[in-house]
Amino acid sequence: MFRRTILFFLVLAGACQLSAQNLPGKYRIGGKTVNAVTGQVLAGAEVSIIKAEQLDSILQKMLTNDDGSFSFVGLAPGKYLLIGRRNGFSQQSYEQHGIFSSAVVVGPGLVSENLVFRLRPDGRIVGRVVDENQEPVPGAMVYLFRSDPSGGFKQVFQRAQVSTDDRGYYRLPHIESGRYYMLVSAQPWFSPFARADANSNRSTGDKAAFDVVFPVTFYPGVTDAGSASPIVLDEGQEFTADFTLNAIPALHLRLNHLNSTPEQPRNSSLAARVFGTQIYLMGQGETQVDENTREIAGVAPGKYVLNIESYGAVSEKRSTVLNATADMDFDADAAPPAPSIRGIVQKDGGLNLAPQAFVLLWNPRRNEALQAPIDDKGQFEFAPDLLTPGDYSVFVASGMNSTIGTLAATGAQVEGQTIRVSTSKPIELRIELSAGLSTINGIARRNNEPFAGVMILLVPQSPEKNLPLFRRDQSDSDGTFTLHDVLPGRYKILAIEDGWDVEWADMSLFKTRLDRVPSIEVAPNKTYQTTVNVE
Amino acid sequence: MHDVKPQMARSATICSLRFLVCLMGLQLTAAGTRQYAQAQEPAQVSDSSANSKPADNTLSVTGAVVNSLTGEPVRGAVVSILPGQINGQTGSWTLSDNSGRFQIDGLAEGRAFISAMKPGFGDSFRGQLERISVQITRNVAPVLLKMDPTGAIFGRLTGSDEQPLEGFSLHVIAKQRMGGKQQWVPFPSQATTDDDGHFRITGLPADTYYLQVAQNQATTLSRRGVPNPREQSYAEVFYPGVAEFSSATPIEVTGGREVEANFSIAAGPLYEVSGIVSTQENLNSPIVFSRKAGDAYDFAQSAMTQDGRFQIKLPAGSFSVAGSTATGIELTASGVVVSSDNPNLNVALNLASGIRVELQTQSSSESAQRNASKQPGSIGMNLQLAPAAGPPGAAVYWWAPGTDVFQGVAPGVYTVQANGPVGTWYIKSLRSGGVDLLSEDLTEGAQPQPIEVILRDDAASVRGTVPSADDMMPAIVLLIQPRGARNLIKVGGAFQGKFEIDGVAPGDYLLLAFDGMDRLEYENPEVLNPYLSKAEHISLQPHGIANVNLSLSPAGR
Repeated sequence: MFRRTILFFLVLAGACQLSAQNLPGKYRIGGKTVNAVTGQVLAGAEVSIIKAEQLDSILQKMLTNDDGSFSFVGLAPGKYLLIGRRNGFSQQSYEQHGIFSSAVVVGPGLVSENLVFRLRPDGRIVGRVVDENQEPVPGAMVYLFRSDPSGGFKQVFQRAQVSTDDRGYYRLPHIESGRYYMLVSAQPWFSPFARADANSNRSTGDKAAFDVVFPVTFYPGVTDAGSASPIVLDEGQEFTADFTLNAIPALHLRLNHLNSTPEQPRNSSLAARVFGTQIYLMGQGETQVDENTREIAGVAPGKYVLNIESYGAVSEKRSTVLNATADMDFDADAAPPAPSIRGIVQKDGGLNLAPQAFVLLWNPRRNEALQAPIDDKGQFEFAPDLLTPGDYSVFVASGMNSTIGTLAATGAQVEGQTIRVSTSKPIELRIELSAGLSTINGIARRNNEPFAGVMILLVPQSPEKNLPLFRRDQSDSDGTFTLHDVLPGRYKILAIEDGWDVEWADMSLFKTRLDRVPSIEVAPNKTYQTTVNVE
Repeated sequence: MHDVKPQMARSATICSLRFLVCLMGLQLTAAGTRQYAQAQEPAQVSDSSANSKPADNTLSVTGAVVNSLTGEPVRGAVVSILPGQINGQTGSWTLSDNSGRFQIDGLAEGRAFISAMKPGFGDSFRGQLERISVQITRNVAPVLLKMDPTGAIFGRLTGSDEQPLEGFSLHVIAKQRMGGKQQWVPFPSQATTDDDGHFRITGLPADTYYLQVAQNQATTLSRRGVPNPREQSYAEVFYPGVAEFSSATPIEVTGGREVEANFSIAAGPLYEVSGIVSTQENLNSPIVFSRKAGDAYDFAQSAMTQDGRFQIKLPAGSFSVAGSTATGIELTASGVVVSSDNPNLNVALNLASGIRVELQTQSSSESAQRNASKQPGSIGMNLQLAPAAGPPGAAVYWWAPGTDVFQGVAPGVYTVQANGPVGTWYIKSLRSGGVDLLSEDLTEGAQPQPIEVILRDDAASVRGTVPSADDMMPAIVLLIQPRGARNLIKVGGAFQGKFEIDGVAPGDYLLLAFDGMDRLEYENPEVLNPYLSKAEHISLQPHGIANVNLSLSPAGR
C-alpha cells in the first residue's frame, strides 16, 4: 500500500516533466518485451525507465505495442534502470538476478536500442487441503519456504503464507522459479468446543472426539521436516500440491511451578521450529489449572521450543526444546536460561545509523539466523530462544557504509568477521564500523569486448571467515560495474557468467579460477578502476 | 502485582466462550435477567430431579442431521443441546457420525433446545440458528435436524481489455432487518480477486444480494505504444459495472447454490489537477475529494496541502471537497468540477452548514418551561439523522445535548431517530419548520431550519406478560400509534415472558408482541398493519401504569 502511494506521486512528477517537453538529451532506449520461456512477444506490457542516480522517481513509462516494442526518447547520457511488468509477469528489471540487474547505459557509441527485454513469467503453487474423510479443511495455514543461495550459501526462509478457502483450496501466485518446501498447519473447525470442554465435567468419550489435532504436515504428506521433499518450480510453471491431514488425539502439556515466585509472574509460549523459523501453530489453547499450573492443550506430537518469560522487577527468559510424544508435565524451573548475546556498535567520527538498523548473526551451515535492532546509542541485544554452537558471521545492516572494521567478543572466539559459539556463556560483542571504505569501479570484458550481465564477485582473504566482506554486482549493458563499501585489505575479483544459482561463497567451486586471478590491495578511502576478464 | 498471562488466558477463554455462544445462536442475556429468572422461576428441572434421584442425568436423546435441500446425511456436524430453562445446567455437544446420526447422553428431564452447526451450513450473518425444542423424557422420539446449506457468489473480474484485474476487493450487500427496518448492509464475508481475476464470496444464505467492487488504488496506462500515456483508475462499481446502487443488478442465491457473476469494469482517465485551497479558517488536514455518483460517492482521493497548494489526480466529475481545522471543525466545498487537466483549480472551503437543535423541557410539577440544554446528560437522549433511502454505508449524523448543532449535514432526505430519553421523560414533539419529524422525513437543503425538541416528564409505563415457548429467545413488544405513512412505535423487549416499558408518552396505543427481535419489518406499515386488528388496546394517563397480558403473534420470516 505504502509503496503504491509513493509510486502514485512519483509517477505524477515524471509525467509533468515530459508534458513540459523538457527533453534533456538525444539518446534512446528501445527494444521489445518477450516471454522469457516461450520467446513470444508481449504486447501491452508496462515498461518504465528510472535514472540510476535517481532511483526514487520513474522518468518515463509506456505500454508496449502489439509487436511488443517500446521506445523512450530524449534521454541524456547515463545509466537507466529498465523495469517491466504485465499480467502474469511480476515487476522485474532488465536481466534481473535477485537484487541485481543490468542498467541500460546510453551515450556516444553505446548500444541501447533493439534490446530484448525477457520477462520471466510468474510461477504459482495451488492445491487443496482435505481431512482423512476427504472433507475440505477451511482456514488451514499453508506456508511456503524458499531455499535460496543468493546470500552466498543456501538459506531456507519463509517466502509466503496463505490460508485455504471454504473448499480447502489455496493459491500462492507470483512465485519465482526456485526450490521450495511447503507445510500446512490447521485445526479442526470444531476445536473451540474442545477448549470449552477443558473445564467441563462431560463424559470422557465425548471429549475425546473433539480433542483432536492435525499434525503439521509437510509436502509430500509427511509429518517430520526431515522427510519433506523440495518442490522445484520452473519459470511460469503451475505446481499442484495437495495435502491430506489426519486428525490424531491431541496432547496436553502441563507446566508446573509456573508462578512459584508470585512477584515474578511468568508467561509461556510453545512454538514449532521449522526450517530455522518459529511458527505458532493453530489450535493450541491454554487453560489455568490452578494458580501455579497451566495446561497447553491441542498440541500435536512433535518438537517444540518452549519459552517461559517472567515479568516484574527482573525480566528473565528460559527456553528449552521439548519433544512431545505423549501427555507430559514440565517443571517451569527446569528450563535453562535462554542464551544472552549483546553488544555495542561504534564508529570513529560518530555512528550515523539508518532507520531500523540491525545486527545479524548467520550460521549458513545450520540455517540459523538471529537478528537484533540497534538502538540510537549503538547498543543491541539478541533475544534468542536457542543458540546452536557453531560459527556465526556477523553483519551490521544500516544502509550504505556499514561495514565492520574490527570485531571483538567475550564469551566467543573471533576469527575475521565470524564468531565461534561453543558454550552457553553470555556473549558480548564490540563492533567497530570502518570509517575508511573504498569503491572499486570496473569493466567486465571478454575478448576485449564489454560484457553485460555477468556476476562480479569480490573475494576477501580467508573467505570462509569473512563472509560479510564479499561484494557483488552485475555488469551493466556497457560492461561496467561498481563495488561499494570495500574494507581496506587484499581481495580477488571474479567475473562468473552463470553464477547466479550457485553458492558463490563456497570457494571450492572457483578454486582454479581464484588461483589464476591476481590479488588487488585496497587502501582506505580510495576509488579504484579495474578491468575483469570473463572466462 | 498482576500476573499478565493468566489474565490474557482468562480473557481468551471468555472470548472463545462468547464465540461458542454466538455460534450456538444464543442471545446474550444480561446477568441481571439471569438472576431475575432464577429468583422468579424455581426451576422445574431441579424440582423434578429432586423428586427422582439426586443426580438423574441419565436420559439420552438421539437423532440425525440432514441437508435440508438434498436430504443427504451431514457427517461431522456439532450437535449441541442447551437446557430450556436457565438453571445452571450447562450445555452439551457431540459430533454426528458418518450417517449423520448422533446421541447425547447424560441429560436431565426437562425442555431443551437442539441445534446443529457445520461450516457451509446455516446463517451466521443474522445469527439465527434453527433450534428444535425437545421435551427430554425417558423415551424421547429421535430428532431430525435439517441444515440449510449456504451458497456462494463467484466469478472473474476483468478490465475493458479482458485482462484479469488482481487485488480488487469485492463485497456483497445483503438485506438485514434492524430496528424494524429492512436495510441493505455490507455482508461480513468479502473477497479479493486473485492473480487470474477470480473471486469467491461464501457463506451466503439463500437471499438476494448486490455485489460491489471497491475503488482501487492501482493505475493503468490508457494507450499502447505511446510514451507516458494518460493514466486511468477504477472507481467503486456495483455489479455488473454501474456506479449507482439504484441501477445495480441483484444476484439471487438459492440454497446451497454457487452463482457465477463474471463482469468487466472500465477504468476512467485521470486528470492532473492542481491549485489553491482558500479558506477563512485554519486548514489543518489533507483535503479529500469525493465524487458524487447518484446517492453516494464512488471515488475518493486525498491530497496534502502545502502553503495552500495541492496537487492530485482525479477522474472527471463533480466533487465535494472536505477538510478540517486543528480543532476538528469541518470545512467543505461542493460542485468542484474536473473535466480536463487543470493547473489552476481553486477550491474555496467554507464552514460546513449545521442544523441547530433547540431542546425544551416541560415539567408536570412546574408550569414554567425551562431550557434543558444547560443540563445535558441527565436526559439520556441523543438524536440521529440517517439517510431515508440510498445505498449502504451512507453517513449518519449524531446529536446529543450539550452540543448546539448537527455538524456538516450533506443535503438529502433524512429520518430523525431518537434514542432515549430515560426515566419519566418522553419526547412530546419533534419538529422542524412545519414538519412533524416523528412521522415524516426531514429534507435538508442549503438553509436548514432548526429542529425543535420538547420533552415532558410525566411519562406512563406498561408492563405485562407474554407467554413464550422459548425462554432463550426474547420477544418484542410494540406500542403503536397508527399515523398513516409512518406509525409511531415504541419498542420493548420481553425476557422469560415478562416485559416492562417506561417513558411512554400518555395516549392511546395498540399493543402487539412477536417472537424474535428482528424478524419483522415492523417500521413498514404495509407489513405491520395486517396485524393491528388483533392488537390489544390501551389508554395511558400521565404517570399511569398499565398491566397487559399479551399473546404472541408469530412473525413471518
